[in-house]
Amino acid sequence: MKTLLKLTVLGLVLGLSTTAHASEFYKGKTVTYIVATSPGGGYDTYARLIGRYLEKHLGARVLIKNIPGAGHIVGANTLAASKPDGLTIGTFNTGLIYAQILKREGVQFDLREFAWIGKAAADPRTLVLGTESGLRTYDDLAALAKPVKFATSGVGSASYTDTQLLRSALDLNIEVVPGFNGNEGELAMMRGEIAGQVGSTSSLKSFVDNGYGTFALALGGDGSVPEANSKVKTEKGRAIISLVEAMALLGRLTAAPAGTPTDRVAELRAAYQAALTDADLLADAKKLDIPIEPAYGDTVAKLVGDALNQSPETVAIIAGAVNAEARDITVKTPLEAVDDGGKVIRFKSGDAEIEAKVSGSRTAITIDGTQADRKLLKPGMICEITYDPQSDKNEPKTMACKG
Amino acid sequence: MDLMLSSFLTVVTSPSLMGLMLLAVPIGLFFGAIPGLGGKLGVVLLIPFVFGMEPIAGAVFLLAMHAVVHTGGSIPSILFGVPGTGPDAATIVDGFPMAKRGEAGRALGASLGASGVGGVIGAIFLAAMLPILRPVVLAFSPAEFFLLALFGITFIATLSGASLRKGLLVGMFGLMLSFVALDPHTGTQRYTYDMLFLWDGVDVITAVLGLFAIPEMIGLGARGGSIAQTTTVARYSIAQVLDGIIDVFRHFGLTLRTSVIGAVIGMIPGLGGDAASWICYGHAVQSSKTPERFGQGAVEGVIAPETANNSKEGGSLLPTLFFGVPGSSGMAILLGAFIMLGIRPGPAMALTGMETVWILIWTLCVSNLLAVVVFLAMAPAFGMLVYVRGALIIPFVVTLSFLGAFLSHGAWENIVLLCVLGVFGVFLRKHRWPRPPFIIGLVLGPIAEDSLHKAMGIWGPTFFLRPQSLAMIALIVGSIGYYFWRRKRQAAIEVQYDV
Repeated sequence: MKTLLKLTVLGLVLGLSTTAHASEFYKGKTVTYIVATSPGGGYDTYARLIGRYLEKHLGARVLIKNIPGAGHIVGANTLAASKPDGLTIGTFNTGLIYAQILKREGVQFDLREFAWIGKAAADPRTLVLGTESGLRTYDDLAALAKPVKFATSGVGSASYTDTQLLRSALDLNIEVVPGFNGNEGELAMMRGEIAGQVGSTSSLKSFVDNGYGTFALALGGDGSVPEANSKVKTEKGRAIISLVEAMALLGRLTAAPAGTPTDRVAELRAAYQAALTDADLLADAKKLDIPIEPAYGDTVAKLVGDALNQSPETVAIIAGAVNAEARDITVKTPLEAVDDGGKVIRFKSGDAEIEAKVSGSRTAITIDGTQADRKLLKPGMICEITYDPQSDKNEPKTMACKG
Repeated sequence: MDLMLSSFLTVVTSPSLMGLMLLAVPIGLFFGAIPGLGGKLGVVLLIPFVFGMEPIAGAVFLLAMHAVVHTGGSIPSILFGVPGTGPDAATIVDGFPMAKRGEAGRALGASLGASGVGGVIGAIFLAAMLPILRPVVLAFSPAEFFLLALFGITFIATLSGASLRKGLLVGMFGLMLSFVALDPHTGTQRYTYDMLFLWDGVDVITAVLGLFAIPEMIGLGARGGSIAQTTTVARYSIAQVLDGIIDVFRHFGLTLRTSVIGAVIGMIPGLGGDAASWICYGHAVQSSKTPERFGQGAVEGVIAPETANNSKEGGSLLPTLFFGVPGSSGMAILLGAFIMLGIRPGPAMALTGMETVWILIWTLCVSNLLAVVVFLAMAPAFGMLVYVRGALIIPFVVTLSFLGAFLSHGAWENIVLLCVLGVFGVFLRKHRWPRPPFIIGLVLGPIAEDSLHKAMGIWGPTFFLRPQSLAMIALIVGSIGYYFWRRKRQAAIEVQYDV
């Protein structure tokens, strides 16, 4: 009870800083900001900082609610299941895009359906080599005859997936040792047990500044470190690198549940934008040493949508990299052609052109929410298509179309 | 040396720093004493208030708050058998029986003295370690983590009390439950039955509440009366508290050893406070001449974990400051706050920031001593609670337990888990099976498993042939041998008496 009281008092104190930008709907209301990790750490820091300035620009009280568990999945599930009244928003790991592509167990949200508010940062990935490893540059690593060891977080985590993807793209001679959480990988590099690590540039910066390691390869960055793009030799590798780069652009996402009324989404987006361009927020972020590189609303929705639409080949690579089973692929894309009375359709899955045979009995088709026959499919309709790339003729299981 | 003294003077002669510490200490005690809150949440909630403070002032404020959390955490452990924080759980095993015996004051005094002395010895030990910090921290790799966890697991035998068989069964059951989680190596679900809250494993605080708090409260309800079972009105007095504080000095050898063990475990990132206090508790039992008193209210059982969980604070501060690698999850949050305040942890600290380092070390000492004073003023009032009628205290403690189980992970499912483990706890208590081995298994199982995977990944199956590992193996074998030797000797003595 005392806790609750204390939180309320704290909230009231913070609430006093509200200004005249306040909107009619949000005035005096409480917005819950779900953070999919425990208190402390990057996501929590960003949410608490942005939350304070959302209060100022929204006129509502913002309450941070930490819902950790299952590598951000519990928090994202909770957000998806929240009432879409514009009073709940949330932030979680971009790595959940991988989780959705691979249809990981436990995922009960659809990132395509979230009402996207914005993102606060870009967090480009880098490959760091520990000083103790004796390796100085990427070329040293590439020239190795015997494999060296790289640390990652647990299997299935974003860090693990990134590392495996990079290994596959650049054909790196490394052995991945998972299970290093927090800063354990950095300590292992200092002891010389582990040669290197792939991680976000901002979180490895102090490690490198302190002289314990060097940045050997960057995936998107300011050009001071060799770019992965310049080292990649295959077409497949290039595709993977650009995927990892695209993911990294989408750091510190914020979304509202699907079905949140559009006017409230618009207000949330406006307040989010006002908060992230607020000079005081930028000054605070600088003090906290956290980068701010925002994008808003539809831009973020499009980036997320693009990241989810992948070709069967890329999905197979991701699945292969993390030892997961490649399953059905779901993409949301316009129908490019419909032939033979809806029996044959063509659409894009990532950068691959897919021709699929629609079954009259097995494919479940809806148009604008009502069940429909394949004859009614028309080119240009935007459809969410789930198909099995291993099956004969890419037969879709479900097609939800609009138009 | 000059710097050491001058920073000491800076701390104690500055009214603003002392004032901030006086403000921070009660807040820290509060966050420790309410189950489920803890120091991490404390720091997170206080960060907005240090925005714009002087770097040193802000750091002193947050560190002082964080340093005394476990001093407060022992209050509900001793009085109600409900741990304030995870690392205070070991204090229940002997602290709560002491309260039942009418010695709540003495237990609180011992915990208080142990926390204070542990905090100070931890800080002094670390000051002495400064020159050899790097080699010591880096000497511990996953192989040593695995063996250290194994060493802790052998304490199951020592903590089994009269029946080794029962202890092993309970301990193995704890180990078994520690496998409920995502496999750290392959990411596959293990015994989670598609329930997401089990992906991160069985929550230790919930397990402790279920095994200790719930059965004790049911026992109290069935028995009637108050927590303290003394028939004579052994009224609580300040003399009792002082007696407890003196106990810390009566067992000074133990206090010193557990402070140092706690500080070293704190210094090695990755082992955590739960492991520190249970390993120190196990050490107290093992090194005692009369191990059978433990679990019945032995004051050493309060002293050992309480020294450890305060001395480890200083331990984990050092790698945080000098490598920028936090020694614990609490320190990770403090590290973020330090950066925000403009203090840049890293090796450069040794060259340019030594004054800050000393000020922070002294802050640890002074805030631990301040906590003793603040606590001493409040202890008599707290101590009276164990004489309150059970009917009034049970609803309060049960509510606190449910709240703690919920807050520790913010998952309602933990409340169901609490009930299930509560039933198990009632069964264990009724049939006099030892309960601490269960927690040992649950706490150390994941550390052992995770580091075994990592050690195998790095060195392959011959990882234990390294010199440090062989030394640890010798320690484990020695500890098991000592246990059996002592049992045999005891049995021989008992036979003599029989004759």
